[in-house]
Amino acid sequence: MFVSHFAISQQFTSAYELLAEMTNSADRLNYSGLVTYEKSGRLKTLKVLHLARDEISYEKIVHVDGPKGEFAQWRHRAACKGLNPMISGNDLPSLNEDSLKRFAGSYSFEIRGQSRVASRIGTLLFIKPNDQFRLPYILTIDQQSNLILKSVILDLSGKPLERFQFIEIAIGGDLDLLELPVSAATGNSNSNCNLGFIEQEQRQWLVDWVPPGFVMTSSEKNEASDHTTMVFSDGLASFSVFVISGSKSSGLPSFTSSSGATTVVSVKLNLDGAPITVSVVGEIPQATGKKIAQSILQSSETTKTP
Amino acid sequence: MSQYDKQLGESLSALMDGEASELDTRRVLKELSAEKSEQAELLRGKWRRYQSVSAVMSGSSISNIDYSLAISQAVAKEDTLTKSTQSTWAQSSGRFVIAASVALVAIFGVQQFNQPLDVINQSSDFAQIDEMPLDSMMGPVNQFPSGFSVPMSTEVQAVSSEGYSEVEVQAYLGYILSKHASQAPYARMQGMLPYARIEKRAPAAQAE
Repeated sequence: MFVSHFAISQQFTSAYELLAEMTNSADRLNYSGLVTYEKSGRLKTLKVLHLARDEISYEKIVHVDGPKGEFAQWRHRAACKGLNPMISGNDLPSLNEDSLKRFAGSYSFEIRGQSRVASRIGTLLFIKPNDQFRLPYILTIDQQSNLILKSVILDLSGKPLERFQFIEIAIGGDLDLLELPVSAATGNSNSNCNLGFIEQEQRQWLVDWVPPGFVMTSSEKNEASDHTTMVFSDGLASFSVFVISGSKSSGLPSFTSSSGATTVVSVKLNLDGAPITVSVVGEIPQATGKKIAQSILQSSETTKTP
Repeated sequence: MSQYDKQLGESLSALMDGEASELDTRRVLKELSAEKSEQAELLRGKWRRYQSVSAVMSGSSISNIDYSLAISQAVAKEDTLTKSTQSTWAQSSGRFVIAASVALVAIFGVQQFNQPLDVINQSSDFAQIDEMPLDSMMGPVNQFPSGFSVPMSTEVQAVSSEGYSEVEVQAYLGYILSKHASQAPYARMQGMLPYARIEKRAPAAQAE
């Protein structure tokens, strides 16, 4: 899809810049707060913490209702930056021409005034998909820090699917001085960006169709369990494709399910006599997930795994 | 859910958002003050959950990252509310009335932005999930990750007679959901939002 540079309006560029600032802030600011997360008639309350130090970022979620528990993750900031074209190496927003064009093909923006969330003033940004392969977003972006204060993902008919909202947030201040907790497992050197790329020659499976504007951001293969994972993103939405072959595949039925904005489509395919299970998980319409799952092909260049 | 229950739920939500009409307010107050009605219990349950959020807000100091303190304060306040009497609810509803009259920033054309979200999973009512004792919520592997509807495709029903292990399917679903939620954030820009979707959790580190 060719998008001429002149067709991208100033308004689009400003909104895109706002998103780039938002991405950067989420990556490099220290913040903590209370969050409500709603989906499917269910309300979760969470306490969140994000700390960024030179090389490491730390994210923690504590469940404040329901069963006690928390989730924490450390990762190398530099190693992960490359996966998001909006984050440049020097902490400034990156107005990458290619990703701007790709984004312009996928979404249109509308800035709709202001909204007050968590006692802060935010800019209301409507992100509308240009086709039926992705979902609309309404974001409230803090004017002072550019962090997301509120995010609503809608289905294609405009009905909200999930809502993430800060009800209280603290940015910087004491948080800038806080020491990073040490990872119990491996100390602070846990590189948990998790994701590399499978070399072209070794790719066994291809996703023959992805919606326009989506690119693969990572892939990985687990030799022991014969799982291949591929992650795709259009810059805003993302989905993961899991290909299970071998004996594990026969234990899985086909099914579809959804929760909030996340859809799961799992199909069984028979490729050259090899039965596989393909699951697509992502914040995309279900019909899109199905189409992606059914497009899996076996790469003809790969030799069979021993 | 009866039409009346649905209306009641909507009135409560409207009250929470400061968008309640006088009819909404009266409807909610009337139900809350009815001691023994089942609807009142469900409504109190909903309000209790919203209350626990504001209790944590007022009780915790955000810049002091001591989660154990905030959590035990929230739990303590929650216990108090559970034992609450009629008069406490009357006080609460008094606060509702005040909140309802405070004007929020009006956002035209985005009514659905703040509307309560649909209950997609009809088989497990919101109130019922949260009223279950904590033990059963942490229950055996034989549960879908909470919040996920039972697979809607009829193929699953048919194949269970072919011997697909429910446990295995659920374990697989949990695995791919967690993996997606934890790896996807790097491909997009939404800060902490993706982590809110992760159901997998370790027990809280601090002792209560």
